[in-house]
Amino acid sequence: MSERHDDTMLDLAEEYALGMLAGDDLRQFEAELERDPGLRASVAASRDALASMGYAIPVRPDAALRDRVLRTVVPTPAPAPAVATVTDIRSRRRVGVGTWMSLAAIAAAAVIITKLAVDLRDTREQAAAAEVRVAARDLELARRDSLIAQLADPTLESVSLVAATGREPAMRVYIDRRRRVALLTASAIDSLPAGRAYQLWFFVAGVQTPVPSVAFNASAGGTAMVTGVELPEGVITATAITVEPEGGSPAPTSPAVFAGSFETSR
Amino acid sequence: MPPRLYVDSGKSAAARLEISILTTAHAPRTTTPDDALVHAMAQGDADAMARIYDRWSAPLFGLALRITREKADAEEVVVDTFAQAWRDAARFETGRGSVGAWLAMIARSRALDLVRSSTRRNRLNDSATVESADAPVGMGSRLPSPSAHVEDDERARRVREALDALPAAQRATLELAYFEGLSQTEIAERLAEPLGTVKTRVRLGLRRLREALAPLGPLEAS
Repeated sequence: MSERHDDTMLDLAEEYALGMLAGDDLRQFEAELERDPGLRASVAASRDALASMGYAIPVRPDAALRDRVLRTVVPTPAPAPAVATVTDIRSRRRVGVGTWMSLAAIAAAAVIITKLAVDLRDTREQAAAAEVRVAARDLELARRDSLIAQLADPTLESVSLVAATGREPAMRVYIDRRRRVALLTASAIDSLPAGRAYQLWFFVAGVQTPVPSVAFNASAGGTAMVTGVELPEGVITATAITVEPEGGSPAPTSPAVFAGSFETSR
Repeated sequence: MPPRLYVDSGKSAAARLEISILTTAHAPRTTTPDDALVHAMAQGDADAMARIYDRWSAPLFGLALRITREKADAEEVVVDTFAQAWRDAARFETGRGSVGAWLAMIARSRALDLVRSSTRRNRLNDSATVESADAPVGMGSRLPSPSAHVEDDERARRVREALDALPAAQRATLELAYFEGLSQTEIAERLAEPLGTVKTRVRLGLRRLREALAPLGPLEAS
C-alpha cells in the first residue's frame, strides 16, 4: 500500500477507534500512530466520545455485584496495612522454565475445571479467579525482575550508613520517589522473639515525628525482603528501623537499631 | 510530648543501612485520579481496584447492558472487564487515552464476544437494531428495565443531547458500529447503502459527537 498523506491518516482515526481497520491499513495506521502525537490525540478523543456514547445510559448495577467483582478479581484479601510480605532472599530464585510451567499448569487446571463444573456461571467465576491469580503471580514475578534490573543499574544513587550493633547485619532501603514505593532488603539480622517485629519508619520534611510504615520479621536465616512499601506523602529525608510489638506501632517505642538519611533530597 | 525516634548512634560501626534512590529518567505523566488508581492497581493495590469499581461500574454496566440486553450477561461483562483491567493495569499507558475509554474498550469487546458466542445472536438480530435510517436505535430504547435508575449526570445528559442532534442516519450508523460491532460492509448491507456512504457517516458522525462533547473536557467518572 502506498504511503498515505497525514490527512488521510486522520480520516482513518474514527475507523481505527471503532476497531474497523484491518490488514495493511491497520499496520500502517498503527505505525503512524507511534510517530504522530496529533493522531494519537485524535484517536483518544474518538474513543472518549464512543465511550461517552456507551456510558450515557442511567443505570446502576446491583450492590452485590461489587462484592462479586472484588472477590473474583482480587485474588487474596488485602494484607493488614502495617505488615508487608517478607521473602527469604536466599531461597528466592530467578523465574525459570519450571515456574512458567507451573503457572501454565494452573491455567490448564482452571480450564479443565471450567469444563467439568455443573453450574456454568459459578465455574466461570472460579476460572476467572484462577486466571487472575496466575496473572497476579506473573505480575509479581515481572515486578521483581524489574526491581532486579533497576538494582543492577550502575547509575543508581546510594549511601552507606553506619549503625550501632557489633555484628555484621546489613539493610538496604530503595526508594522510588516517582512511584511512591520503597523496597527493603536485609541480611544477617537478628531473629526477634515471638510477638516482636522490626518496623520501618520514614522521616518527612516538615513533619516532626517519624511516620510509621511496615512491620516485618526476618527469616530463620536472618534475611528479609519487603516489597511494595507505600511511601508517605511529602519529601522523605531519612528512614529508620526499630523493634516493636508484632504488627507495628503508631509511634516508636524503642531506639532505632538502623537509621540513615538521604544524601540527596528531591 | 510527641513521640520521638531515638537513634543509638555511638558504638561500633558494623551494621549498615544503605539508602538508595531509584532514578527514573523518563517518568510517565500521571494526570488524573483515574490514572493514579490504575497505576496503584498495577502494584496490586486492591483498594485502588475497589475505587476504580466505584467510579466506573455504573457506566460500564450501562454499556454492557446496552450491548447484551440481558442483566445477567451485563453483570458477567462487568466482572470480566474488571478482571482484565486488574491483569492489564501495568500495560495501561496514560498518554494513550483516558481510563474511562480504556475500560469501555474492554467492556465493549467482552460484551460483543459474549453476544457473538451466544445463540441469542439471531434473536437479537430479529428484534433489535435499526428499523430504518430515519428511525435511529435510540439509547436504551429496547433495554430491559434496569435494576435501579440513577440521577442523570451532566455528561450523560449532554451526550444524549449530542446524539439526538446527529442526523438520524449518522447516529444509526454509529450505533450499529459501536453497540452491534458490525463492520462497515455489514452496516452497508444492513442499511442498503453504499460502503462509501457508511464510511462517511462513521467519520462525520463521530467527529460531530467529539465536537459536541469537547466542552466537557476529558472523559472522567462522574
